[in-house]
Amino acid sequence: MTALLRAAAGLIIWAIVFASLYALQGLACALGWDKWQIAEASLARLVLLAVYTSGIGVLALLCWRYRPRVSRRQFLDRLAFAGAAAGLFSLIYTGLPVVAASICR
Amino acid sequence: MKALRLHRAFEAIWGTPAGWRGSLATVNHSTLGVRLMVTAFVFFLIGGVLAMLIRAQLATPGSAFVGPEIYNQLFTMHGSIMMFLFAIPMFEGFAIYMLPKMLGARDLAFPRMTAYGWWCYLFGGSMLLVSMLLGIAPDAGWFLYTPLSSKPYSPGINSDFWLLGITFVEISAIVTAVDIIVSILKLRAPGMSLDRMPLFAWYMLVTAAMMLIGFPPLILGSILLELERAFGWPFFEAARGGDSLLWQHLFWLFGHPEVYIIFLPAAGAVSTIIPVMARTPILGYGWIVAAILALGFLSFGLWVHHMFTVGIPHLALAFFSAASTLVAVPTGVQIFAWLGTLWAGRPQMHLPMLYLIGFLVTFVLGGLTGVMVAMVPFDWQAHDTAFITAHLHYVLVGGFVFPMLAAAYYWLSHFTGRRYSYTLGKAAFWLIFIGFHLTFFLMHLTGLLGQPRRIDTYPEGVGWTLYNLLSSVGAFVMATGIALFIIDVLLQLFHAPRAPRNPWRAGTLEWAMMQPPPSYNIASLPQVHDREPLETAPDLALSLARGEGYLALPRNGWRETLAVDTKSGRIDHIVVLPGNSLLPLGTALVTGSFFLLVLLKLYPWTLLPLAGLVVLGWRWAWVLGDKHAHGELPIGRGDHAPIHAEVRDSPGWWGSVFLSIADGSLFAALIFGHAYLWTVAPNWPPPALVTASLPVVIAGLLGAALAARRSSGVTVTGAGLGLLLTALLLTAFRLAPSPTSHAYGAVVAVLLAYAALHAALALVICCFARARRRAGYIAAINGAEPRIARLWTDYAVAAGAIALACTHLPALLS
Repeated sequence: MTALLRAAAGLIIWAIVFASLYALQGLACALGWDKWQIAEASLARLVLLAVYTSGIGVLALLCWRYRPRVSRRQFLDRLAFAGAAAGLFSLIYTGLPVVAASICR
Repeated sequence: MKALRLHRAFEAIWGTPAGWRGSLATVNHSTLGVRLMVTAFVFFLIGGVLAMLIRAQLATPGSAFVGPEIYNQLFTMHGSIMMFLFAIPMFEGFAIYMLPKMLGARDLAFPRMTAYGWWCYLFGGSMLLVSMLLGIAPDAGWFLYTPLSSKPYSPGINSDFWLLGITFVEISAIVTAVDIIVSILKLRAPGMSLDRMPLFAWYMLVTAAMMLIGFPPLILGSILLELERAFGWPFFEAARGGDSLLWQHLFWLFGHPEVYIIFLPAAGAVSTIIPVMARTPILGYGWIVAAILALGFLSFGLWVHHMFTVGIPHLALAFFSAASTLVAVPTGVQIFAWLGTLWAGRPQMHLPMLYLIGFLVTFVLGGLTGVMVAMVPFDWQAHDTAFITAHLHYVLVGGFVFPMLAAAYYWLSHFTGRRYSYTLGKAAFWLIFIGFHLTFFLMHLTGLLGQPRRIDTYPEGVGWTLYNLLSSVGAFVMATGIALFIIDVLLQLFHAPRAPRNPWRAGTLEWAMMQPPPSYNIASLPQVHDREPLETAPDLALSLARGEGYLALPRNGWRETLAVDTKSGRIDHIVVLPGNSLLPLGTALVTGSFFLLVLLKLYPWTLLPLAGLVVLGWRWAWVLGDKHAHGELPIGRGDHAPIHAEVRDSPGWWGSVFLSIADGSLFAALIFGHAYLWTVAPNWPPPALVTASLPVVIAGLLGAALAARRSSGVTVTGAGLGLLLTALLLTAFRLAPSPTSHAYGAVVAVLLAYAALHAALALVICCFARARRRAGYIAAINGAEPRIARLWTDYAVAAGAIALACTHLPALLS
């Protein structure tokens, strides 16, 4: 069962970070974080960017950990890497709007 | 002769006795799978007739064929029947019938649950049919949006039928999902490691997991809306702190994964049939598995694209627009793998292949319009128009009906034992294909011309008349095609000659048995060495029938099959499955009486079926197992294995784990609802919070800590659960505001009720485990039962602690 969990780990992390971004966006607007300016960006954007980049970092680490090696030629090992890579790509793509889109409008 | 002797011996153990009692008590997966598919097909025909009535109404402008009240019922029931009573049960029935055969097992992991699921589906579906016959069918759309479906705007019983009937059917879906997952992970032929599993099993594994996560939010939404309608708890009423958008979130948290839940099993059939038709192995097995996994997850990140027009911020729109386009990638991977397989092989244009081509053309078109509506600016224009109706029919008919028709012809000889021998199927295909595209392609145009969905009539002179007329003609052409398909299948069933075994020369294990299959599937279980066992051993069926595999000797009248290690397929233990029983029918009847009493608003009487369910649940588990240990038993080929009652990770343990995941999904949706209302809904903060009480919180947490201790005996665990339950009930009845005053009070009441119910349930399970241990059952001493009791205790402890924190913390901090 652990092997299956490893295969899904990257996508599970994507799901957690994606849901967190959406939840934080709602929370930030409810608490007015978009009006708190820190340097050039609002607190809301900084928090979202922090979660986004942390998620990317974790998934990049996972990809590195599950990278294909001679000792890992089994099907489920390759599946774990594919899952981590899919999670990383998915997060970069679906979370990209935090860089520029308006947060509470 | 040996094969015949074994056949008779196994039939005596696995068979269904003749007569009505045998029919009611059967738990055989082949019988139940066929029943589900036939019933689902009947619902498909009923839904189809409703579609014809809709098209008759819209064929001409200003039609007086039916009035708006009946029309509302027609489209609501058409959508509800097709989604809940046709598509889901059809693939469930197919999986129930086919999975054990493909996996080299004799049945599913929980045969009585299979039967219970079938009865729940039948009763729940019948409730909706009765409402239609009485003229009081649901009429607020298949997604039952609030506030239209709320009491002030839908005062009749119509919406209650939907909420209760669909929830009843969803119970069936959840138990079937657990059954499917555990069967795939554990009940496979020896040697069938995960990478040797047929692709269909991978598809069903991901689909069933999606059902466990995706269906509970809808069950929760239905419970909340029924509570609002019955008792005035304002979850969705803005004036008292509710939010109608919460319903949309809960519905689409189910509703969008649902599209993929329907598509994936059909894609599993496609991935099984295409390589056989192309006479070559599937291209990119690993890529396809990775794509299925990715689809399973990504499909949960799309639900808000159904809500692009409700006024949510740009950032949220962008998140879900991006995810909606991204999901096309894993879908595309599968399509290219199928095309590549066809390219690499020598495709034979048999009838299943014809339907698969229909699938590819239609589904790709539906996918492309899906990418169009994933773009927010386009969606704002097309939302709630006939364009969306066209898109969803391209996806669902293209992605499910065409593959299922292909599957029907591909596996027909498996069900009937008859060879395909008429050409009516080709005529049926062309009528269905042409009729479908005539109907729905034109709806794209009427949609772009501005025709809204769900209108019962339209004026002349707005440019929609000709398109609508042609759409209606197309629908009747398609209906004629379906009628021809039925005639064709009946002809095959009654008049076609006997089929040879494995007529397509396929490699998967479902063809390694008699056709139609016997009740036990295979007289002995094979040792699997590759993905297509019949390709390398064409005589495998005969060898298995002669008893040259595992478990070839009938023993003690037991229904035996093997459980394997999930990853490697190494033999783990023998599973002794329960025999025919009236318990599933009885339990479904009692469950049904609960829903019926709620529908009739006889609320105090609902305590009776609830008590009945506890008694039946107790009986359900009590009748299993043995009081003396058997140790390692011979299983053939010189191997030995223990029986499931004597191991700690039996199917029952895994079933509990996956059921608790579904339960957790419902709880998470409830917490989401609480947080959503708190942060987004109007008219917050509430007039009064829970009256904070530190002693109650401490008592509750102390109880939770006692119950959670691993070293505690049953008495201490029970006392801890009792203390936790008391704290929850005290909060609900003494400290919380009225659930009718504000949505806050309503959500708090549900949170506490949920936690209290689980604490009570855990208490019952602990008492059960203790009683079994005292009675000397091996499973309660050496087996999985203490572990299962611990799992549900831990779950109750976690739910109770979270519920106490959610209700008391805000007041303590304010």
